[in-house]
Amino acid sequence: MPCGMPGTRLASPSPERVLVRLQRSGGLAGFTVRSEVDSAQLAPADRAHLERLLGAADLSSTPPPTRGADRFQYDLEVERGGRVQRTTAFDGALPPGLQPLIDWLAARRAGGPPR
Amino acid sequence: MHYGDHYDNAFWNGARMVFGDGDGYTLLQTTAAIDVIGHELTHGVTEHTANLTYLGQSGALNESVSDVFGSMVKQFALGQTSEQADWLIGEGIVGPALHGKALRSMAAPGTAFEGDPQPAEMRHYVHTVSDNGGVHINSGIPNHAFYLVARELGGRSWDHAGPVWYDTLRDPGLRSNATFHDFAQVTVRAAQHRFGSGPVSNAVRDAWNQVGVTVP
Repeated sequence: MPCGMPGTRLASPSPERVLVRLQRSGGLAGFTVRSEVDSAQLAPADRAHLERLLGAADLSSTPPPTRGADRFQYDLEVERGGRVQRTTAFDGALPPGLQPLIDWLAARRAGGPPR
Repeated sequence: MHYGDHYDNAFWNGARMVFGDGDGYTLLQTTAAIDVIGHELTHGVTEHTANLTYLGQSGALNESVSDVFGSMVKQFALGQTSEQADWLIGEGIVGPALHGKALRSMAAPGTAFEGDPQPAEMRHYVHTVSDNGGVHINSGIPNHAFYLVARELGGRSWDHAGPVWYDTLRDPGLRSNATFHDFAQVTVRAAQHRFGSGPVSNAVRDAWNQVGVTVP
């Protein structure tokens, strides 16, 4: 398990604020659920984890056409330094590295009605 | 079956049906409702017949056809007439967070649960980029049209209304990108072809007109 030595700190520039918004729609039920994370509101460890997830996710690739029906549709928006990157992907055909980011964002979503 | 971990969905992946156990919050075990199984199976039938494009109006028709045949599967299993049927989709699999009785109501779209966004008429069609252009929202309109046909004709839905919809799905004149209006026209033609000009084709035409899809 990778971790820093106790008491050590890696020098890093002040982190850039990132806003990540995820909307899941569709599925058999057609419910829409939304998550939003502001890195400025995160603990340093969570902020670092978010950066790792974003770094691993390929947000620029065009998702392949999907067959079938009732798949979840994911609309992801990443805002950093005034620039916004958007991608749409479908369950079962997600670009590389996107699933862990979606799972993490979904897990952080507060409980509540689906719409 | 038992796809994923508390997976709150069921879908057709182009080759097989996939069912999750539900998150226990919005959705329960998705195989608990026979109409949902019929719904997913029908996606396979649609793909291999009309192959309605899963986007916008043709996507909402694709969804509606799955609800129509899913509901008929349930009615057939229970031996119900169209008067006795509840015309609900997914009754028994909705979790406590939904505050509702089902996922959708064909008899009264928009009333299945608190905040149900389904319209019953064309003038309330929802324009959105979510959910492939609202395929699970606007399906309320053709769903309600089928319900109106079945109720007008009475008896078992699979005797008259069902065959008209199935013939429509298999009609070579129905394009993959069909609009509600295109689909409605083919249903009237299919009704005339199978049952002649009379009560069935009149009921089909009247139903579409009632939901705001005008068919001459």
